[in-house]
Amino acid sequence: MRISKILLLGEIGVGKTSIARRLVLDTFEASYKATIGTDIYRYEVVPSPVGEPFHCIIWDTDGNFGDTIFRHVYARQADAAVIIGDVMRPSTLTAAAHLGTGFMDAFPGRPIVYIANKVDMLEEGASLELPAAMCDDSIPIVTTSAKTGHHVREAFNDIAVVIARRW
Amino acid sequence: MTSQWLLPGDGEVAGFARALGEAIELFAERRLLGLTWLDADMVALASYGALADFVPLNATVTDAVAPLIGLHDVLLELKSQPGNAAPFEMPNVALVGPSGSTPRMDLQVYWLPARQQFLLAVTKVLSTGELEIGLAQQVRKRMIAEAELAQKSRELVVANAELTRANRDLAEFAYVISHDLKAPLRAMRYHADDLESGLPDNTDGAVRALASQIRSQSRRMARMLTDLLAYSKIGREVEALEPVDTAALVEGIVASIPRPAGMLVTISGDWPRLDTFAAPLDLVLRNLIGNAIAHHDQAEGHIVITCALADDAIEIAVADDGPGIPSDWHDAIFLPFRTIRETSGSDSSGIGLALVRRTAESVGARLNLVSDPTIARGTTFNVRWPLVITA
Repeated sequence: MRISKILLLGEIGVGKTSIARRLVLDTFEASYKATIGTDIYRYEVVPSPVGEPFHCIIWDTDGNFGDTIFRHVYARQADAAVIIGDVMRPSTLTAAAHLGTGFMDAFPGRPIVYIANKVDMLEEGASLELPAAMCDDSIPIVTTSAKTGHHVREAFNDIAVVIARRW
Repeated sequence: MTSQWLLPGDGEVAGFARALGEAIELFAERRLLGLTWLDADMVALASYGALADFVPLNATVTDAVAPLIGLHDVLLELKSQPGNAAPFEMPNVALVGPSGSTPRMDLQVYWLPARQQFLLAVTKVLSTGELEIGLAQQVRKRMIAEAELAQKSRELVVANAELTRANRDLAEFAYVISHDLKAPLRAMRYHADDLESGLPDNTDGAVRALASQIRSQSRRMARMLTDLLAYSKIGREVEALEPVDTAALVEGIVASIPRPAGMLVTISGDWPRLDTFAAPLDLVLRNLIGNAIAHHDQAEGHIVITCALADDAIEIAVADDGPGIPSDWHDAIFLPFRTIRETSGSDSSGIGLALVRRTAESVGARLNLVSDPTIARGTTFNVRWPLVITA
């Protein structure tokens, strides 16, 4: 089975680990514990609607790295990036867009997807305002909730489809 | 995690046992969680501990160790480097699966040229809690060090500014004093001359001698002030580069300095033409040659002045066969008004060598002396005068 490496990027506390755990273990922990270093998850994905199943190796990185992650050994040979922002903290969405630009510069041609996480915390009826830098028609944006599982698998499916198409 | 061995046939076990010994030495200070040996084609030959769970025998590592993808290029890079290259290290990773997480670990990959094998090893890192404390301590230490460095830097800037101001004030003071004292001193000397010449013929010899002393001492003081003024002017006046025939310059200097008949002066070596500051070079050579003649203690002597071309300078030496300079005076003679012998009766103000050194330094030249009267007579002053002056 093919293997693909996906980087999880985003500011500290946006929910990278929660997203990974929801995807792989289908669990959610309300208590927050910062990731120091990297946690590596393995997840089998079947791209939908078509595509051969493959293994995603998801690298949940330490948010402290910022831009420097692209020069770090953790980022070597990444096939794609899932870049996460917190809808309750607009600055993290701007930072996500910045990381997206950085990833595309460091790994040209490799796909990314933006995740606007924690939508469960938005008040009902509240509209979500995304920074202009994040609104690029060629990059999908998925709103998710790691807490409820809302759209988490869909976000990874989106990127899996692109990865599978490029093989 | 299990602590198991995956080994090939029994015949090779001894070899791996030796390799394990080497690896344990390599990781003596860290807790080893797992090892895998790979051949040059990245096929697993043996595995131990944590990595035994991930790397089956005879599997190609990049297929087998799914979480460690990216290793293929790393291994190729390591293998292509000559000798024992530094290991590849991937710090602080944990593998998370449905049954839980592995301990946090550092991954190291070595290429062992003698064996033509790769060694993969995982070792335990500090627990997250310890790591956070360690990181916090490091950050705190670095912040303190940076703050101290910044403080020292500020103090240095202030001290430098103070020093620059003090130097400027001192130079200004020396200039003003030497300049402004000359006029009243000159008047006093003239008055002393007038007094001495106006003394009646029957004046007591002792009185006449005292008047003569006033005149000679005031002359000496005037000379000292003149030299001090020259000393303080160094660096204040802007010199212009001009073509200088150093051979003609040194010959002219030698010809202009009176010397006893028995004092032989020889000029030898390669004296080039160069664009330099003529007046400072004249001052340096004139003082060194003049000193060699003036401070010689015998009626007959030999002074040799040589010049040689170096890469970026000319190296001039003024060597005499005089009494020499004791080593404890080698620094002091370059200070203003410091002389080895009493100078009250001589024409020397004692500032000559201070003037020479400061002048030399002002154009980037270097000056030193070689002399040890306990071994042999004579002193050699060496001047390294730059071919290109940027001062």
